[in-house]
Amino acid sequence: MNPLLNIFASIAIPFFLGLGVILLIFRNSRRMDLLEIVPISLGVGIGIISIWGFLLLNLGIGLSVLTVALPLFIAILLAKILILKREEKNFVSLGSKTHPSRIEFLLWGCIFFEIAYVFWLSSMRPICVDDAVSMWGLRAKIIYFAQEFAVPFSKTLSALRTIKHTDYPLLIPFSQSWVCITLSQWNDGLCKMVFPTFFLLLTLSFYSILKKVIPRKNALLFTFLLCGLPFLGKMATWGIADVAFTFYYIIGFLYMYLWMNHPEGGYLTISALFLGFGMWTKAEGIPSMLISILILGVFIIANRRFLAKEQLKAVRNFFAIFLLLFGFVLYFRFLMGGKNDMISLRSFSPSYMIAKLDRIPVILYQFQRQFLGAFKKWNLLGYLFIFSVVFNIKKVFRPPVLYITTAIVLNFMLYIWVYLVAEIEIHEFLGTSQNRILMHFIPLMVFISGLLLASGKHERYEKGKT
Amino acid sequence: MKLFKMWHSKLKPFILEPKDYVLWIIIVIWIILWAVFHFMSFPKDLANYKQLKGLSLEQKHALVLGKELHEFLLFCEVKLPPRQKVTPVGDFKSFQDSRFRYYIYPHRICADADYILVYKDKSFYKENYSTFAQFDESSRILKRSGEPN
Repeated sequence: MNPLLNIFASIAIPFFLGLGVILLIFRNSRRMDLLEIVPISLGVGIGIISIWGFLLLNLGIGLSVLTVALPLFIAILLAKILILKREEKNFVSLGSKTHPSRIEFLLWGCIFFEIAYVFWLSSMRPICVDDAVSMWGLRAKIIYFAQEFAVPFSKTLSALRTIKHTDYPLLIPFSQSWVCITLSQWNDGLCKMVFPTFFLLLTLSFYSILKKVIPRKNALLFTFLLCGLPFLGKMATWGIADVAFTFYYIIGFLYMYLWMNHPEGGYLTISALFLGFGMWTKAEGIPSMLISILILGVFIIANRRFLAKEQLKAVRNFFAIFLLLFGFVLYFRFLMGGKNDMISLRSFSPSYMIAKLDRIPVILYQFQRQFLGAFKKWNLLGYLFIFSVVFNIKKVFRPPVLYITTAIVLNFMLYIWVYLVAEIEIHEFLGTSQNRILMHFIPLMVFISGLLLASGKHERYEKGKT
Repeated sequence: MKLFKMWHSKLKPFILEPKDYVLWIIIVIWIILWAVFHFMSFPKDLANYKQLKGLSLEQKHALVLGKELHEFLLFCEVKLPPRQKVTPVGDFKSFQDSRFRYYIYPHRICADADYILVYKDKSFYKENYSTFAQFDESSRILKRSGEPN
C-alpha cells in the first residue's frame, strides 16, 4: 500500500474513532467549532486505540489495523444507533463569522510558523535522545514486534518489565507502534512525529478553550505565547512523553474549568476522558487526576444548592469514566508489578519527610531559577504570571479563577513533595526532570494570565453559577 | 473643557490602566525575545537540515550511532536468526546499555546467551564458543558450540 495512504490512515482512523465518541457525547448540544473538534477527536481516538491495543495483546490477539480499528468502529456505530436522539446535521461549524483582523492573521501566522518549525525539526532525525530511545522507543518496539512475531503476552510483559520505571503507562508507546502497524514496518523516523502532533493538538485545543472565555484576539495572543515557549517546542522535537501528558492533563482540566463556568454536560465527560488518558500517559497522571477531583469536589460542595439534575448527571458520568480508566491503569500496574522506582510507602511517613527537609531550600532555589531565570526555556512567563497575579490579586482568589489558581498551587506542592521524598540524589533528579515537570502545569499559568489580562471584557467570563 | 471631554471619551477605550501597561510591556519583550531566540537558533538548525537532507533513515541511524557501530549492528541483524538472546562484549564505550537494547531489539540482551556480539575486541575468548560470523578483524559474532539451540 502507498506509504502516504498508510500515514493518512494512521491519523484518520483515530480521528474518526474519536469523532464518533465526541458526537455521542455532544449529541444534544449546540454546535462545536472545527478547531475544537479536530484536536479533541484525535486525542480521544489515540487514547481509545492505545487502551484497546493493550487489551488485544492481553487477549493474545495480534495488533493490526483490522483488529484495532474495526471493532471500535462497530461499537461506536452501534452506540450511535441505540443512543442517538437527534441528527447531527450542521453540528460542526467552521468557525466564527466575524472576519479576522490583521493582528489575528499575524498571530495565526506566528502560531503556524511555530508549529511548522517544530514539525520540521522533529522530522530531521529519528528518535535519538536518551529517554526517547531507552524509555518510550524501546517499549514501542516491544509492542510492535509482539504483533510481528506473535509473542505471547506474558513474554511481552516480561520484556516490558526489564525497562527502568516499570510502572510507566503505555499510551505513548502504543501510539508510536500504531503508526508503525499502519506502515507494516518499524520506522522510528515516522513514529517520532506523534510528538509534534501532540504539540499541535495542545495548541489548537488550548486556543479553542481560551476563546470561549476571553476575546478571540487575546486568546490568539496567549496561544501564541504558549506555543512559542522554547522548552515546550524542544520537548516536542525530542520525542519525550511529557508533551502528550501536558496535552491530556491541561485540556482535561480546562474542560473541567469550562464546565464550572458553563455547565455543558459534555465538557465534564471530555474532562474525565482526557484526565483518564493522562493517567495512561505518565505516572504523574494519577496524582494530577486526584488534584482535579479534589477541585471538582470543592466546586460541587460550594455550589451544591445551585446544581441542576443535568449537572449532577454530568458529575456521575465523570466519576464513572474516572473509575473505569483508573481501574484499567491499576490493572496495568498490577501486571507490571506495581512498584514505583522513586516513591514508596516510606515516602508518606512524616518522620521520613522531616528527615528530608534539608532538600527544601535546594528545591525552591532551583524552581525559582528555572521559573525566573531560564529565559531560553520559559521566556518571560514567570514575570508575566507573577505580575498578572499581583495586579489582580482579588480575582485570583475568587471563583472561577480560584479553581485554576488552586490547580497551579496544588501541582506545585505535589512536585515539591515528590522532590522532597524521592529516593534518588536530589541534584541529579532536579537536573534531569525539573523542566519537564514544570511543563505539566505551565500552560495553566499562561491560561490564567490570559484570563486576568482580558478580565471584564468578555461576557461569558462573568457567568459563574447556573 | 467640552473638547477635552469629547476626546477623552473617544480615547477612553484605548487608555490602559498602569498595571496593563506593565503586562503589555512584558508581552512585547516576550515577543522580541521569541524572535531573537529563533534568529539565533535558525543557522544551526539550517546547517543540521542541510547535513541530514536526503539521507535515508538508515543513514541517519549511522550518524546517531557512529558509522562503524551501525554497520556492525546491521551485520548482526542480517546474520542472526530472528529474536535471539545475545550478550554484547567489547568496545561500546559511552553507548549506554539501555540505548543499545533499543537498537538491537528484537534480539534481547542477557548475561549468558547463545550468541555473543564481540565489537572491537580481537583478543576476546570464551570457552565453548566459536566464530559464527566474522565482521572484521576485531568484531565478530560467536555462537555457543557443542550444545543444541
